[in-house]
Amino acid sequence: MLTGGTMQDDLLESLKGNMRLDHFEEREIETTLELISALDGDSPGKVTLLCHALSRVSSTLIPRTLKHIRRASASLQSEDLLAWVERANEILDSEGVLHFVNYMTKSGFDELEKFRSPQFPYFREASGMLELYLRGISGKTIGVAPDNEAYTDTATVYLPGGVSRFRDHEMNLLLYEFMTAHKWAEIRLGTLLPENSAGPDGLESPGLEESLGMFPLKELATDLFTILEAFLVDGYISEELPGLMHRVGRLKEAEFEGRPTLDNLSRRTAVVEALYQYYLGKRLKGRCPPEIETLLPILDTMAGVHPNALTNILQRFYAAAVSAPGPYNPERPLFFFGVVRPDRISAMLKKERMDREKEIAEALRRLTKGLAAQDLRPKQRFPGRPRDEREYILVGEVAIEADGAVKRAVRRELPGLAIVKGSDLAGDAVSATIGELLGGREDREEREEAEKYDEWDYRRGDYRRRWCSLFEVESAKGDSAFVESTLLKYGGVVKKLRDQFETLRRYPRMTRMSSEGEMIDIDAAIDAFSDLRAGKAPAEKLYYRMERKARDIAVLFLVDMSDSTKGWVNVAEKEALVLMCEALEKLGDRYAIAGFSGSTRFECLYYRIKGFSETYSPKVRDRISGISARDYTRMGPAIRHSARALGGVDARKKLLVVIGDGQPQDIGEYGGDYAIEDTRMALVECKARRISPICVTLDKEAKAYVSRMYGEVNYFIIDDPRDLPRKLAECYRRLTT
Amino acid sequence: MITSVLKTEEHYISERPYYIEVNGEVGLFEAAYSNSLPVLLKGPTGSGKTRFMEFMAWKLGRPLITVSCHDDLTVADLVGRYLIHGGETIWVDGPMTRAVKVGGFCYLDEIVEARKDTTVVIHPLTDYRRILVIDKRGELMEAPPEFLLAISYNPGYQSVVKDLKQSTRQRFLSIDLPYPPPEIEQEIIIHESGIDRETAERLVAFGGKTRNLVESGLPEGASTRLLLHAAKLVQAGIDCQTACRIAIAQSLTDDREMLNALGAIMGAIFSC
Repeated sequence: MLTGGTMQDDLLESLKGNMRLDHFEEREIETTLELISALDGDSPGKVTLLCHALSRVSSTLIPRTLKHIRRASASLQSEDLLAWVERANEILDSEGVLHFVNYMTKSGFDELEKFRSPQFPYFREASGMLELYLRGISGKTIGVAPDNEAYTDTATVYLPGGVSRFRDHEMNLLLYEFMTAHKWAEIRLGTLLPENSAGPDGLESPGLEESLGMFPLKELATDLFTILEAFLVDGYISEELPGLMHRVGRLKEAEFEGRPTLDNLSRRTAVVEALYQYYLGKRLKGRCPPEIETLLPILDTMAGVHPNALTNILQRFYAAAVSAPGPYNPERPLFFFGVVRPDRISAMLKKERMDREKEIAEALRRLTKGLAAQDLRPKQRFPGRPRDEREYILVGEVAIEADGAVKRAVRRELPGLAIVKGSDLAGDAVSATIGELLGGREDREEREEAEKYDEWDYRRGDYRRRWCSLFEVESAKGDSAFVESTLLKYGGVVKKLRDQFETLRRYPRMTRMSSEGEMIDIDAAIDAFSDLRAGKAPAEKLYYRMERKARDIAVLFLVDMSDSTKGWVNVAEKEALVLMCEALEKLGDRYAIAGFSGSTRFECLYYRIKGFSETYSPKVRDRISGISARDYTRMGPAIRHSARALGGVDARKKLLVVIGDGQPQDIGEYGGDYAIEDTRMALVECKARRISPICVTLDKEAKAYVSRMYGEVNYFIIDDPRDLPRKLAECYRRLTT
Repeated sequence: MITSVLKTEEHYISERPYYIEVNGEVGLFEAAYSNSLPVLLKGPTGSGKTRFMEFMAWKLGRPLITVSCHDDLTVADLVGRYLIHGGETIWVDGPMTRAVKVGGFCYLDEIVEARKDTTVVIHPLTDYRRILVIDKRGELMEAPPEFLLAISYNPGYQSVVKDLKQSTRQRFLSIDLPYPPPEIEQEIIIHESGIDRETAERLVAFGGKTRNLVESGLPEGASTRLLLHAAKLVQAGIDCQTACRIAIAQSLTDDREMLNALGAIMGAIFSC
């Protein structure tokens, strides 16, 4: 913050004057000052000095300098940033503008390493460990991401870019762990998603943000809520992670030492401060505000309180706080364990609702189009199963099996349509499916060159014969520079992979009982001699042979090219394939690469990227570069087609590695259980052909369905798409040795 | 000090091995035994498969002969060979032959490690014939009703080149032996190490957390065996965190980031 003082004011005026002389508009000058003011700690003063010095050379240097400073502030704590800026000032003074500009451009995370104090851990360094820590303590896949503060929106845990609360690295790292555990406990207990939460007037309102928004002094209410919740959460953590709470004791003690004396604060501020101090040390610095004297014992019982009761307890403390005189001005940053961000929670819940509504709208649109555009030609009379508890939408005399999305859509948007049970329809209706309505247009021309594949319908317990039309097409070419840039980006990893896979290629082993070799196999020789003495025919294989055993493995990598892979996932898939190819070229295993996508059962597309007999040529590299996100994910036909391709290869071991980011899904009914069961059956068919299918998925929530499709052990879940390139080759190495 | 030496087939387990039944596996094994069916024990490493075999051998009063399989194991290692002894050629039975002769339990541990041309020797023993073929002697040995062949296998071992062939695995009755539930695992650790209940609870909690990390790059979570090792170290006076670090974390992984995460989890669970 720019606090101003006479010298500072003079400096600012001088800076503004210089910028005006260099034809900067007032708006631009104001923006510049705002950017400077937004920096933490003592940096604004130093940065003003720096900008003033620059303005004496040319003010045009200022915007770019501030950009670098902002970039550096993401990688340096405020003390370290100050030191960096001070150095910049020195260079400008002593070495001139050119050296200064060169210094400022080195503002990336790695470039600033020497400025980082060792006692301050950074998110970028600690995030890998913290994500594993969170996975370990929770048993769930909860993402970890950086932000300015520690909080959670109940789906992700956000942590600050760096922690510099204490002077000691270990304590700062412990604080990172505690923040992570604290936010996990909030998710686990559901303290941020209160049911039946009530505002100060006792009326029901949904959501924490709405609840807190009903308090006239929202900031006060939020801070009170945060402390009360912390008592509850700490109680839970003490049960689950007693070691952590034991260690956090010294953090709390150190934090307590730095707190202000209550008597020096306004009474209202003192109320909140007192609660925080009681949280830290079960004692207070100064006199307890009379407004909460009788309420303090409640805090000792918070560990056993149900989360839904939090808001009611908040009301009591809020009433006490507002009855205290004076403004609410917290002096120092509170809550070393993080904050509560009701706005982010609301945003996350809103997004989930919107996604759901989008799905519903899509289902409705499909349904409506199907009804409007189709001349329904139902295939069969309703089988009339009295015990059929499935639900159907009745449209005239046609019963359409209703999946979850359709039911939601109808109930919400088309309440006039009847939803009935199958047991009520026996003999009175004819059946059709959503898929037949939308994709099964009888008058659609089918292309001659399609390969036909069956599809498994688990509801009927039988295949739908020649149900899907698959077209094998050559994959489009992409930017030929992609492969080179990937190899450059992963230079060290590529070298390591090549070395590792070179060793695997023909790993040496001494083979016993060979008919020829470099050494006598003594055991075999003794056996032979003994057999001879016993009057038996001795074995002839009496040698050890150093053999470099050739591998006899063929693998097909099948890449999901659906729309959901757009962005990071698509890039990661391509990079992973590039690294995999580099490794496989050294290893010598036969391999092919294909992609799949498509839309409806009539257009299942199979993109040929590299055939088994093709070399890893520039053409293949271009095709890998051209892999892009397209349509949907009808996995069954793609897997069956791949199995056919692998069936034509003569190898002792055959592997199908499916790389994707989510569940099988296509337009119409190909989703949910139907799609999972068809995919599972396709994989069973692979195993029957002695092909081992393996899944490498980027879907953190995959466990629920991927084990059902692939089996308990035949899959790998990669948490971060950026890890895929490095981990795919490692997965392959583990599978094939 | 002279230790006693017994021939394997004389090794009847006289003292009851400590074992807590988890999921009806004792009854299943007894049913397999009474019907002369071979048994496949499936479970992760250190989940109690060998201890279970010892318990069943004791319960059913049969000697237990264990063979640890590896890829140099030959048919002769299992069945027997001619040896020259004092100028004479004598036939020496292998462990499988000895087990068949005395009607004992022959337990092949980690069967996937053995070569496929070795494991096929068990096929005639595991179907209706129940015979052991001794090629070198030109003999067929019929297994008595008391004989049982058991093999063990870790299904979590992800490798396509080391897998159990269908023609082998479909001869066996499979019994699943996963890690025991936490309350049973605690009892096992308390009994085997003498550790106090609270520490056992914490160790089991830590083991559970490591198993959460299997899909995040840890090849396997901590086995009951490793937890027991750590408990014994604690009982010997080593502090909990050091015991967990050397007995569990360092045994599970060499990855620096994973070790740091395991260290943080240890620190979160243990106050000592």
